[in-house]
Amino acid sequence: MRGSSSMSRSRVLGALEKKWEVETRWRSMLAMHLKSREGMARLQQKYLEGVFESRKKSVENLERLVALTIESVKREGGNVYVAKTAEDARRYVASLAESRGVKCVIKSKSMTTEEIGLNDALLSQGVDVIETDLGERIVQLAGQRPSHIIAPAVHLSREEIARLVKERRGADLPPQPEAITRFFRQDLWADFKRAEMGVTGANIVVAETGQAVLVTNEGNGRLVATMPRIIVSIAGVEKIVETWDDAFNVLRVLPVSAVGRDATSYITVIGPRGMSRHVKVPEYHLVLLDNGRTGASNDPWLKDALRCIRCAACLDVCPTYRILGGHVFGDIYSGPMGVPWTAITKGLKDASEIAKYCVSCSLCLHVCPVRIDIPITISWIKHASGGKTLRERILTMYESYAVLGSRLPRLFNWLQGSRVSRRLMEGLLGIDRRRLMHRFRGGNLYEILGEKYLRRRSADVVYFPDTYAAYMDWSIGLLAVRVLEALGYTVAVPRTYGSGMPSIQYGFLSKARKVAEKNVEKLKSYAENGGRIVCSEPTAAYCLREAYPKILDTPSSRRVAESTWELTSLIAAESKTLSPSTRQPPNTYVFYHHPCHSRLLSPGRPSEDLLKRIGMNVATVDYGCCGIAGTWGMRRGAEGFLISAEIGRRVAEIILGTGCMEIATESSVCAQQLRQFSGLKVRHTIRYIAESLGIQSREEVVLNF
Amino acid sequence: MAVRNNTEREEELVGAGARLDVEKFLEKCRMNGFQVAHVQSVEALVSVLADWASGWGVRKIVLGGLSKQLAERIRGEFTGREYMVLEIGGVEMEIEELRTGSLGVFRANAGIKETGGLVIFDNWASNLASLIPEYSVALLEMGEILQDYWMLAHLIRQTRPGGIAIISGPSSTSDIELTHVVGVHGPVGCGCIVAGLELDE
Ligand code: SF4
Ligand code: SF4
Repeated sequence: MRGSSSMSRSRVLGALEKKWEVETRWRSMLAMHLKSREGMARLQQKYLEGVFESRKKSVENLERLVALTIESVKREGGNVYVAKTAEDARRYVASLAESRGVKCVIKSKSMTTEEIGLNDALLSQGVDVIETDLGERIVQLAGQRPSHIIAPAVHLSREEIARLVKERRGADLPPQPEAITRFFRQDLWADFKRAEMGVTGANIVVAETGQAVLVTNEGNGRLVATMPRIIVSIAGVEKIVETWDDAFNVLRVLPVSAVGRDATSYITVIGPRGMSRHVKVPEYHLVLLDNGRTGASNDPWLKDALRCIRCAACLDVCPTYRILGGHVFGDIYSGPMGVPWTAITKGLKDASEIAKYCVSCSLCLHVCPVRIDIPITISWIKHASGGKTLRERILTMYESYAVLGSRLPRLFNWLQGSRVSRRLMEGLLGIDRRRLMHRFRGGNLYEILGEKYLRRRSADVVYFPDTYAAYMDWSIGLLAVRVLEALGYTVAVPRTYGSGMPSIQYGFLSKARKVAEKNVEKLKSYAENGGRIVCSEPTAAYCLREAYPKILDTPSSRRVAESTWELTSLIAAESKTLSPSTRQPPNTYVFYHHPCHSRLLSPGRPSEDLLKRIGMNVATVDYGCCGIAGTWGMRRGAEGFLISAEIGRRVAEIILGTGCMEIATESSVCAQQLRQFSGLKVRHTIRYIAESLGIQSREEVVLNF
Repeated sequence: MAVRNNTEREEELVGAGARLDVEKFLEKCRMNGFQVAHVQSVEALVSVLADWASGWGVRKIVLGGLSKQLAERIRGEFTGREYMVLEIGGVEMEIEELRTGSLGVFRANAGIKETGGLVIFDNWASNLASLIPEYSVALLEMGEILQDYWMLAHLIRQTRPGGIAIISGPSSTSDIELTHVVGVHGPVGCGCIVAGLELDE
């Protein structure tokens, strides 16, 4: 365990030291994410429903669709082979190449061939293997593996690529993308002409006609499928869809989610009859790879990942992937989707090695066009693979720490501020000494509110404060209750437990289940009586609405989930009385930071709308996660803080660039991060609303945010 | 070739709604990086081709998948203007000949209005003319524009093509530092001409 953790520490440090790479990847992923979001915002809902249904149908009917595909390919005169394992697939293609005397194989981009290790197998029998996708060719020449599933060479600079071309291909090129692309156009053309065998992957296989569909931009997929005399397509069995309607459901959404475009330059459909009825493809083989997929389709935690259409939107949005890249946060498949896919194809142990880079922000679920709940699947992988550290176990006790702090605020505030004790905390608890910590106000929300709220059996709204508003700074909870009452709601605040997010985040699912059960037990009767459960902390709302129903899977947890709201969403949706306030200081220009869990739960921007409604001047930028992710960003050095700081600095730069004066948000931990790296005042959105209603004044002491 | 190239006939055939469709389709194609034109006669078609060929600086025209008459007509026009015209199919030809300094002109079977794509079914010659030369231009009849992919799915089920290519822009990449570059393996530039006349008559 120690060996593996120090290895991953040095991998993280190695990645962080490559500053150009980190900076470029962050910018590139952000740019791709923004394009994708722009495209997705235009896409009609019916297309999202369509792709979801088609992919779900595929996963639920794997065996039937494999049988149907075999029948179709044979009917059309092609060859089809179902490989149970990666080795079977490798062997089939390698012996085909050998028996046909193949000297050169050209390939179009295919993660499935990476999965089966095809290149090494062919090279070992003396076959020249040439990747023809530009990015793939570059990483092939560099002796690396792709770091991103659709932008394989995104980690390399133009200078590095030009140097590589000089070393490996002997051409002295200026470090310009145009010149490098022109060179490869010529260089690879020679390979297209000489290769006897073309190997493609497939984005889709259509069972009703037995054809493979490739989605590309460069045209290499078309050439690979056109030029050689033997063509082999290799596809995971989960890629099979039943009909052409299903195929187009995927094709309509895939490029939008990937790059924000309605279509890529080329969709190429290949099969036994090739591009002509007259000039036939002499020999066509379709290899359908199982390699754990059928097993996964029967596993309640892994089966949803089989819906993946490989759009890479989850990589582009993932905060840790943006910093670490696919060579650290990835195996064959990288980033968020890489974790369940490593579990499917290589097993839980390998998956757990990369699962630790997931910080449970949930943004990958938010952007996934086929709604794969990667974060909860990763929590389960962490849980099922064992191997959690003592420090992670300690971090799941965060609520107990907060309860103690609420009782001994002076001591805890002193401990958190003293250099000596911070060193001790770093050594013993693994909390980085450089992390700015929230101060304790002293006392807790339940005491402040008193029995009336605790005992109320039915109410319009049940307030669920979570750890921060209950124990660290009850003023947020108090304001939430007062604002709700001012807007006409009756409010109950039963004593509940912290949401259990640290346990979910670090994969202590048994512990998380216990907390979830207790909270659901406390809340269910209110929900059954039509009460809304309201959270001022987005992560708490995420736990109640998304995580609990998945880890408990009971009718009560679903009932509670259906009744859960974020505080500002409820106000935005139901309060007609809020209007521009005369109480706001003139020209207050705030930046609104949209917390990750809130993006998932409250699409649109209800908080931002509310702030505008009360007359604030609001700026916002969709950069994604601020990089703290609960207790993760507090963890020592390479385990959390250093990565978190890389993100925090970049986010702060964007925020400060807007010229805003302060920051509004709802997440207590985001506030911690934004305060630390921007140096600006951060306030909970409810404070602005309270001010506009005359409940709180600007002069009142704000402890943390 | 008997080309009935007048607007009235076109309106009669497909109605005013279709005209609107053409414009929307061409707009989408333009957004995807195509040069576009809507013509009503073969003369106009050839003139657009000649303009584009000269703008792109090519001297070689590669024809693929066109009807005999249309191919003849284009050949005639271009040969007179000192272009070399090659036709794919029939005679064995060196693929290298198609590659540099050339403009491929091919017959598309359908266009997709919603996404701005051109479709080739089962035609080896069209496939090569759209893929190998440095530039390519698709010829399409107005009535061949389909609303969306699902209409194409219907057509696929009816005609069962063995190979299909859907082209929605020039060959491009963003693999180096996300810089957009055109002309990786396929055409550097492409065009689409929608004709309000029957091209294969
Ligand atoms: S939950 Fe967040 S950190 Fe985890 S994989 Fe998804 S995007 Fe990355
Ligand atoms: S998991 Fe979802 S977002 Fe990620 S690549 Fe797959 S389909 Fe795209």
